[in-house]
Amino acid sequence: MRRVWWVWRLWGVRMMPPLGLGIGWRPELALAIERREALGFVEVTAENIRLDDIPPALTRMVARGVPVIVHGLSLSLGGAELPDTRRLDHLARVAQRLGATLVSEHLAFVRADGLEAGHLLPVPRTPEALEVVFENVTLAKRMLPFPLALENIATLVEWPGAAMDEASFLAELLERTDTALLFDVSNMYANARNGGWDPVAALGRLPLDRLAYVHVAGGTVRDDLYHDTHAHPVGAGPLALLEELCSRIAPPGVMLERDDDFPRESELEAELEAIRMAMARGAARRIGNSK
Amino acid sequence: MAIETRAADLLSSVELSPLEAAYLADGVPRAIGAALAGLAHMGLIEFRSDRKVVPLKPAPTSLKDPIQQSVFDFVSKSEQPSSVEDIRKYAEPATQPVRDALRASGLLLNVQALWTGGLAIAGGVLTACTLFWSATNGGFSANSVWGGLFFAVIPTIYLIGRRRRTSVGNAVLSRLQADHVALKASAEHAPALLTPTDLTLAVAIFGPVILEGGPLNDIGYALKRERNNRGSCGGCGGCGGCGGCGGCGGCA
Repeated sequence: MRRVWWVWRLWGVRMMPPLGLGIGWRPELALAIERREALGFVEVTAENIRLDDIPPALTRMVARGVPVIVHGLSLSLGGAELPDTRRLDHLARVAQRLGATLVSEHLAFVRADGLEAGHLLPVPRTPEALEVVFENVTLAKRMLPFPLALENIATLVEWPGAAMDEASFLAELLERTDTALLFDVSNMYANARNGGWDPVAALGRLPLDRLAYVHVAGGTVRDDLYHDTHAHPVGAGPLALLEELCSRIAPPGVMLERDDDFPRESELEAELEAIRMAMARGAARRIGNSK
Repeated sequence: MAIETRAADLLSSVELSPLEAAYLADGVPRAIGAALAGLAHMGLIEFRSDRKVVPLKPAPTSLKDPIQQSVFDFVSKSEQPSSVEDIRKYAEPATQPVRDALRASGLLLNVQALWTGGLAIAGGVLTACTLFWSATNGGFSANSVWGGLFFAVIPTIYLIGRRRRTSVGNAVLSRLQADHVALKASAEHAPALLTPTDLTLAVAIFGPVILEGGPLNDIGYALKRERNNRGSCGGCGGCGGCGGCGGCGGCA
């Protein structure tokens, strides 16, 4: 019966109307977001929302009918401990209040033995870790009254002894837990560039049929390492990977994440336009290939 | 329902410039404060840490708004750094057309309405105070009237001072505040990203307090301190609870 319920929820994600081009809602960008006419959706970070003090500007967006996705940062689904039920409850309540149809979290851990890392940390890609994450995701899905999508993270460190690559690990987890994919193009670009592997080849190993939506963000190179800062304009690398993705599948939604060094409205528009153009180029390739 | 719809249509049809909105919200101080904030955001003037204002560069072209022009004229011609109080005194005449326009459009009470309402409030408060004085001092007498008058003065000034906008003006201001919650959020968190017009509108509708604690804290702080330190009203709230004194005439 539970299997049927999960299938129904994943089917719900797949049957969602296309979201289009969206943006991560931040108070700094509230005015620019509100003024954007062709706004597909907004993503809200659950940890930044207090249920007794939801920003009126956000409430206004919901009232306007802009679709909302609630994104979590702190469930620590990749941790050795079971996810905190209070955090799950908060995520669910925020999603309910904002009329969200989907929630998302990272495939990462942020705490262990009571210590908070303050960062999203990678999960060891071993069969043992897969079992642990499977258990955590299963619990989270049981407690969340919304479909869940899991996001790949950017990391500068890797656990030794990985039994599989990032895309394959993610694919197996999503398959076993019957969960949707939040594909962060920039995170994969960062990991591939820093790890010296081919992100285009990795795309082929991702379960793109489970794709719920896509994150795109900017970064910068320091000491020959690419840092996914969310504080710089989206560069050519992530845009090229987005184009490649869009040449294979029409993503239900794509959104820009900007978390610091916020740009003026005109620069934000230019970034969104660059993303839209990359999507259009990819779509043109896809259509050309299908003929 | 039809009446509600018509009222909503009426409110949404009212278009105000940022400085008109500022005057509607809080009279002369808000209008001058919003103009100053806009000029500072254009890089034409600067708020110093001692809350004085200095010019930075000449205006590129003539400023469109007469209030902004008047404020900038005073700051740029002053040999010394200007206080917000001095700027306000100088530029206040430039706000009078805005006040008259708001009165003509029925958003601010006109002089007659202020007097009529004021007298009605004064009469009501005096009667209430006299009756209370009589009841607590064993009956009505000449002393009751004097006692009632004594206790009626402050609440009367307070109540008269609170009346500045018409009910339509209050509704328009509420609508402006509700319509611009996104502007408020951005102004509180990243005011430097706003255009000068947006920043002026944000200060106009929500007051300089929204700039406090952010990167434009100097502006918010200067305008707020100026407001609280007014010698004429002493921050008693007698000017409409607005702390502004602007336009009610009660503190003049």
